Amino acid sequence: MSQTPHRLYIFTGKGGVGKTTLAMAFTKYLQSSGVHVKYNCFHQNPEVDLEKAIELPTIETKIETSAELYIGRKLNSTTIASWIMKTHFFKSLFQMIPGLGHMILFGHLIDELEKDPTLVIVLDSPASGHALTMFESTSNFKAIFKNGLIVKDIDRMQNFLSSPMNLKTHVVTLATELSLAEALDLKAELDNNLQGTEANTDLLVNDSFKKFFDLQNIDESILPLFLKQKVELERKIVNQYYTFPHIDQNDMPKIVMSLSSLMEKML
Amino acid sequence: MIIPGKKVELFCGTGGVGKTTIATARALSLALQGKNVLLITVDPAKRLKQILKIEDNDDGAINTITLDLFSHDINKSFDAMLMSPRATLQRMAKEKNLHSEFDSTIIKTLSRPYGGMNEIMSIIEVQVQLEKNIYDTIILDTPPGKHFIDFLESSEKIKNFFDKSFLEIFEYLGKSITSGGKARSFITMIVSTGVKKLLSYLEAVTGADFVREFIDAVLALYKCRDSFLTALKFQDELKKESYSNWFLVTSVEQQKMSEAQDLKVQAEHFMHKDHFLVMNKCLGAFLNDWQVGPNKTLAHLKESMTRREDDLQDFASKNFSNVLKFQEINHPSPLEHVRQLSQMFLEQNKP
Repeated sequence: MSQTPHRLYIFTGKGGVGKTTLAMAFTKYLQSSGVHVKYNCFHQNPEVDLEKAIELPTIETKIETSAELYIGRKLNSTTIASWIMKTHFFKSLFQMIPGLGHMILFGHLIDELEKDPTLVIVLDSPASGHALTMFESTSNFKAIFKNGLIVKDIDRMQNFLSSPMNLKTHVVTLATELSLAEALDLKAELDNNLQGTEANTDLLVNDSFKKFFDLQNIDESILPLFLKQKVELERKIVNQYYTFPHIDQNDMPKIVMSLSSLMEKML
Repeated sequence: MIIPGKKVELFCGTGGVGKTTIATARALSLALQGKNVLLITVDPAKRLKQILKIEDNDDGAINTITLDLFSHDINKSFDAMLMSPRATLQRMAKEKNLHSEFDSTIIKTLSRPYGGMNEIMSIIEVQVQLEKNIYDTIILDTPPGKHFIDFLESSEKIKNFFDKSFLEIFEYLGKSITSGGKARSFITMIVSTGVKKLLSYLEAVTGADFVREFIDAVLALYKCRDSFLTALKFQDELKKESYSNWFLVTSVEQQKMSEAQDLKVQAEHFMHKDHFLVMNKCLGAFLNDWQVGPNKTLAHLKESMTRREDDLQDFASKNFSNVLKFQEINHPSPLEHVRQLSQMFLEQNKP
């Protein structure tokens, strides 16, 4: 790698655009460049088989465990923390208000980054709407808590996130107008939420047939009609944003590793 | 295959498979058959806004979409709503005359579009719309993936919250809930109990202001307990075959079969036998017609695309008895997608 990496990379976008694939590919790329990097799937169920197949370095987090750790530290007692987390009241509180759990997870990851200055985390974030829940959680809960120990910690999180050297967000989209429109909406809202870090949010186009044919030097005129139409729909978008090609494989580990080999050009 | 007419139709699936587009197409096909339809999207990504060009004022208003938008009869229409947790909560507050109680930072913040209470408020909204009894069918476009299960389980969460947690705390506050007094005076009433301890720990972490406001907010929500609990009926109704159709949407372009399978397993608890697997963006017909010629790269591409589709087809026929296949549409306009998919719905719905 020619430049120092950021500390936290977030891959987000609407469902099904290939966030997980690109986030894993990027993690593998950083790892192969000698970076101490870990992949985090936030609160989604981890794809254990795939992670194993590509020997992905991961950091696993669970809302309950992270919350217990946090409360334990604040109250100087792990016993009390574990009791608190077992009460119906707290259990339901976390279920009713997912944003609270998001913030605690997010905080946990930032803690890890502050503890180990060499660590880089690639975060595979939930789909668009829920990614905003995650990003909004710090300012939302700051408004709620106003003062107290939590607000100090929220300030610390916001501080970390607002440093341009720390955070880089990739909004992933497919090469279609509808998908792009949604990605641009999301980017605008993220820029709005993470003020001062606008330059650090960018768009990545994934799974483009046009890019595939370009890379393979295939003359578009020999394509069947349905692929010509696809290429036509992608044409404007592909030339405007950084684009990853369609991968003509069916095996997930192979797809991730192929994309990983294309990551260097992206940077 | 006949898709029977039901009071509620649920569209669920992993993200990005075209769930909202398919749900909208279903609404259009029912409206074309003269049915009175309401389409509600619980998807926080609000794709419906883009497709139908509805303005998103976050007011949870019902928009009437006349079918001339899809080059059909202007005199026919269906209704569409973008779920707004804030609007649902406000209506509840109005009904209960709880304006000042709901004027709380905590409640306002949590009910923002991405505040995290989307699913819970949605289940209440659906129940309200059902009780109006003006629609033949209410179509629900649910949040993607795992959040769909969250959505289904939200009524369970509501029940737990009110049955256990609230009661734990409000046993002590019981009298004053009915007399409508302010919560802050109750804190002093709570003597050495587990609850007091819990609150004091909470106070140590969050500050005293929060604890006071939190108790006020919880009290306000508690006063709307009835509305929350009525929504529980919804979940029981959904389990009845006579009441609902389930559509699990998946797409050929995604290798998300394991996710579709997970969803099916998780949702089995809620689903009855009237459920359909929707295979979206099928390329089968195009691939069959494609004469590749000597180019090896293209031959390999065709092979991998064909295998992808065959794998999904295998999965579908092994796990589902009702499979609906929709062909990929390569058109720049989302309205054209909806129009063509609705025609496919009408064609599928023949014996």
